[in-house]
Amino acid sequence: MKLYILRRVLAVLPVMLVVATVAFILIHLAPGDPASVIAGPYASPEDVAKLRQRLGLDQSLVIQLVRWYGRLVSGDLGDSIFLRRPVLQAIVERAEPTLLLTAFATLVAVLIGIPAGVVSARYHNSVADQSLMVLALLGISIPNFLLGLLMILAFGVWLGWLPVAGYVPLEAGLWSNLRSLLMPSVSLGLVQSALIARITRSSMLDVLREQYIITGRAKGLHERWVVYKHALKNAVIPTLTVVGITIAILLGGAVVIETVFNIPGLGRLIISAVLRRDYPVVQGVVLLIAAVYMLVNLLVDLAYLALDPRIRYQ
Amino acid sequence: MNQTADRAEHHVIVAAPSRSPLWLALRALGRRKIAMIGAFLVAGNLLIAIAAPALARRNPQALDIQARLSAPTRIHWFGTDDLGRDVWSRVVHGARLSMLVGGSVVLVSVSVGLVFGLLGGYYRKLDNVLMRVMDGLMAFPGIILAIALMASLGPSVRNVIAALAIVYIPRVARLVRGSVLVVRETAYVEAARALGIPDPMILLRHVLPNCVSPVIVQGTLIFAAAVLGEAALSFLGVGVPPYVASWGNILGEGRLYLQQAPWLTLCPGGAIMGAVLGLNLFGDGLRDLLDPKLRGLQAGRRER
Repeated sequence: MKLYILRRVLAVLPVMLVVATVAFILIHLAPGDPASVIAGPYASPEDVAKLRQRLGLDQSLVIQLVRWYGRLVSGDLGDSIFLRRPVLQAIVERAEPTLLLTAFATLVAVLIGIPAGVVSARYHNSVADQSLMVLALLGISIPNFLLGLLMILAFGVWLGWLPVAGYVPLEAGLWSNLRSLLMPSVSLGLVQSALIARITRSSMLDVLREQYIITGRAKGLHERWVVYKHALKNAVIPTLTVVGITIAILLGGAVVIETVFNIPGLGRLIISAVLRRDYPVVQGVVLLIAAVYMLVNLLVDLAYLALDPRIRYQ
Repeated sequence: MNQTADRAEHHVIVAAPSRSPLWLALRALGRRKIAMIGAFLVAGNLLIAIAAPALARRNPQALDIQARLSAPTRIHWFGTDDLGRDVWSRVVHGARLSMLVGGSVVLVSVSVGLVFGLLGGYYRKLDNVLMRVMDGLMAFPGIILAIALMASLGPSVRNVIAALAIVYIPRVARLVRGSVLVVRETAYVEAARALGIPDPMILLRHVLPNCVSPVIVQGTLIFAAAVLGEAALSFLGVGVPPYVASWGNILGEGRLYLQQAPWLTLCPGGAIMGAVLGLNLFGDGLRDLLDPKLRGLQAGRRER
């Protein structure tokens, strides 16, 4: 088992190497000389030359790549061209809303998705099951940013219950922070809960057909006990894998939702960096999000190991 | 002589359509109500996309500042945007763009993914390198990778297609590789190899046909994801250029006028939902039909 864990952790290394290389290639994909593209059409040739030197673009590609790896290992993501400070600092300043948003959205997705899936499986083919699954299908088909816009329209503009947009940092009080993140997290998480509900339902249906469930029922256990104590415990394991994917999707979705609700997080940071061609910032944010994604997936795999003994003994 | 016999046999099969697997598959699909609703929505969308120039009542780019932000009227069915452009015409042309982007992304990602998957699954040495690269690309959430690629490529329809295709190639490649790994161990592939049939021939004639059906399902889901992806990129302002009529562009502009002009959000929003719902329903129906593993499972369940 220790060997398995070690192997799983080591498997992350080649993926990280590819991720770092992809981030490096990004800056060279642009047609033409990256330095003059970044400097913009109004820059003087001297400025372009200075920038080229600053970014190390005057070196050969191989040297640039090796330097890039070296810098990453030492945790140096370079400096932002427009914000005039280290990329890492810019990211840290903007990380709070994105992380909170992702966490709350995951909570929404799990708290709605799993119960909906369980109810759907327990009352298989009932009206409740079918209407839940139709809702889930609709949920999968609505993009999160559209749901966000519709929610603003309904609860912000027409009903006036919640702030239309904007973000209140955690320092300003937990309550106002939650209030400002409520609509963004729900619009982000609700869509994802549809996926979780579908997976939970199908794995629950599989488990409910297992022999030990029949045994439980045959010996006269209460149906509720059978469903929640015996079936749910096993049915939740596949759902857990999906939660790992969910966190990744939500992290990507948070980037989009931030634009809908004017939340100054990593999403706004990367979008404004794209529009200003501030490549170091784009690279930094992309690398960081990929790293978080890989870390979450690793943790999910290890949790899987802890939860399902069958994998442990293979 | 042999060839003639081959052809004659082929002819017989074609002449008896009631037995052809394709016809049987289509009939089975026709019996699934949900899949049919999906097919209906997809077909409607395709028709609108094809007929867009005729359906649009105005040039989707024509400005009319005096009529800006007009609510839906008999002249402007879906109202007008902040520059006075006719939203109905823009939504209809947006369908055209969505279908173009979705179709092209599916075409590119499926064909490239098929090649990578076949090669990776069949040649083990190549596999290690190819799949590490695919893993690396899949380590980014799709939308983030697409945004980053758009940062370097610059806004244009072609680049949106390229960026989204790069996001979905690894998903197809992984899927195909998985089925190739199974198929290459089968007796008939071994037999073909023993007969000395060259590798490309084995891959094309014996391995490929047995890996296709999951790819078809994946293709419809990629189509849906690409439609959403284009809308999201354009909504964020990093997709197709602003003058192009795209659902995402209309939504992005409409966000600023949510209070004054909700039709800028509701009309393209409804279009996106219809298109994606149709594709998802159709894809789900196809999966139930084509996925032999799932079919076996269901049969097993019924027996129990």
